Amino acid sequence: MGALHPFSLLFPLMALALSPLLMGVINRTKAAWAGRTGQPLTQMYFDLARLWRKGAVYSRTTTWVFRMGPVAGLASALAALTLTPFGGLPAALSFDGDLLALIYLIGAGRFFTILAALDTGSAFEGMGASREAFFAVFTEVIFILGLAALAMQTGSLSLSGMVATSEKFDFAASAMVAAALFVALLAENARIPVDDPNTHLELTMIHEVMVLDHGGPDLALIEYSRALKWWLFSSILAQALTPLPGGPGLAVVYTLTMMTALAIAAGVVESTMARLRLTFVPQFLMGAGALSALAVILFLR
Amino acid sequence: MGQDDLKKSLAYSTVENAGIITMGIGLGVLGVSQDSPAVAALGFGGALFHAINHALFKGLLFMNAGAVAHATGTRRMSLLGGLMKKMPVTGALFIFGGAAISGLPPLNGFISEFLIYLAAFAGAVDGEPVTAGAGLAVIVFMAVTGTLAAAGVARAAGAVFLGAARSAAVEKAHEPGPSMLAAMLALAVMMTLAAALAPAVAGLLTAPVVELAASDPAAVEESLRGAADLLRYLVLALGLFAALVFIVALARRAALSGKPVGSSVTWDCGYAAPSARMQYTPSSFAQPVSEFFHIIMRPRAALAMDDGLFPRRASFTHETDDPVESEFYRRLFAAAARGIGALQAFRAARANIYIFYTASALLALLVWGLILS
Repeated sequence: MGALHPFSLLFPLMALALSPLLMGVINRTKAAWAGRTGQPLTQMYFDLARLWRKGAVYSRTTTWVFRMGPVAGLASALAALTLTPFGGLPAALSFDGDLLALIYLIGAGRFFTILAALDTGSAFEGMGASREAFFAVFTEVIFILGLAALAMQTGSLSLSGMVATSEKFDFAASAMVAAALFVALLAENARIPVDDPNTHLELTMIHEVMVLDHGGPDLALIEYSRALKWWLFSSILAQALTPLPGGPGLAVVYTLTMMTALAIAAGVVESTMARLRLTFVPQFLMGAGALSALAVILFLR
Repeated sequence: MGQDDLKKSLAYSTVENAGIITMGIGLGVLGVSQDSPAVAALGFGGALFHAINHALFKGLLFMNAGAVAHATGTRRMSLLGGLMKKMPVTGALFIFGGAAISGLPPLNGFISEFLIYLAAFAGAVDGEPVTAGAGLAVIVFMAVTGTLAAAGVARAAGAVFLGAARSAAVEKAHEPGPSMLAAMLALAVMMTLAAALAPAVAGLLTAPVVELAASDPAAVEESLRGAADLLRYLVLALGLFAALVFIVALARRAALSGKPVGSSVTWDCGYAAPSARMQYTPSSFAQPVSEFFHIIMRPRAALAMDDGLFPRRASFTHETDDPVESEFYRRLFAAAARGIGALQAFRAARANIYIFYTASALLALLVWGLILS
């Protein structure tokens, strides 16, 4: 039913240490595609350290809810990481239905980010919050259905069980789940084609505009939790994409390689695609949801 | 999402939660009929647990809404805003109850929804096609309503308690009296207990669930024991989340100590005179959803603007009525009123006519009694 693996607490620590590096990989890919050298792979560590050392300026409109947003965001990502298996090895905490706890923990982080945005009383941040709340309806369905497909494929209700059994691997259905989860990964982490992390026009932003008023350590927490969320989702996708090779050491290295490949893929998508018009985003996400649903239907006996 | 009346929006949320409870009961019944004790136990158990939880947080939220209505004299969210500064306890408890009713961790609403979800997953993974299909439908509906509920709660909390005041109604607002605050706090404490002691609550639900799923008591009891075991791990994960919030908050405080912390106006692209009217309204927050579901929600937008190159006056309104209320109920009651209106002819404002009605009714009864005997 459930199990504790204290040793697996190493995985959240690994995410804490290495997740900013993946953001560097995405940025370097985009730079290489554009013919630039780009920032160092380790740039995000410097950015985080710089932000963490700063003071902060708060709007007089805001209350404790505004300060709570980044804190809840990082805590939810960390708690979700303790439920995430890595390299086919079980998570620190695994039980039947842990995938729901994971999705809803991320949802709780999103809820407090939205509240923090509304606390500023700014029209821009209200706009971003409204969009984030709306698109979450789709990404959450994609995720839950995609993970339901994996559960039906493997007969396991916990994430750790799902990645541990790879005998019943079905290529067509897995490819569909992987495509759907990749779309959800991009949408949930505010990447092109749903959101553009580099845009400078507030009216077109989603995630970025919600955190306009955060600065200093608060912004560091937000950026860090974004990197952790990317690590979390891409590690799940990396383990679900293909059957893992035998042997824990090899599987961990393989997962890390796949995650790097996913970061490069995201960089390529970001370099070759324009972001979608906001009115097309629901259709795009529903397309991915349909893929998840199709995979689920394939597994119906 | 579209409702502007705070209490009405809570009433809609009750409809949503009744739906969640019904989905749990449905899975339970399906589990009984398809001989799947795990689905039956989790479905019924989740439904009962959610009914208890809903009683707790809906009571809390209605008290919050009552306190707001009393303090400001209005229930219209589009006239409120910034109440967190005037009513910090009420505001914090609204967010607390709102997070729980949206089924967000680490509160009790998530735990009962988790059980219903688990029933659906168990049905989808192990069940016959009919259970699997129903389970998948429940999963999709729970995911959609869950995220929409969270959006609705964030909208209400944001419009009422956060940001800046939208009208003068907010100015004289104050916390409710100590007895009201005590009642709200008591419910919040009970919610926390329901979450922290969830495995024990699942144990307490054994008897009624076994009663409901009468087919195979031993197997149902076994499944519920398994669920209670599972909830121990879940509560551990949720406790970890709560602890992490605390730890990260401490780290943030440590990082900011001794640093310059200033205050300023909200960033509005450098605009010099931001005002409360420039905030996002509850109606604009709901706009993506109300436009997406426009077939059901029927939002009405009206734009009025002076002609010419430099229009001086412009106004824009965006409203969402409930079509069920405006189309169905209003017509039903209008038709009923017409039908009943036909009886108006018998009404008279004179006592002797009424005495005549009474006497003839008595006479008719007497005749009827004679015939029967």
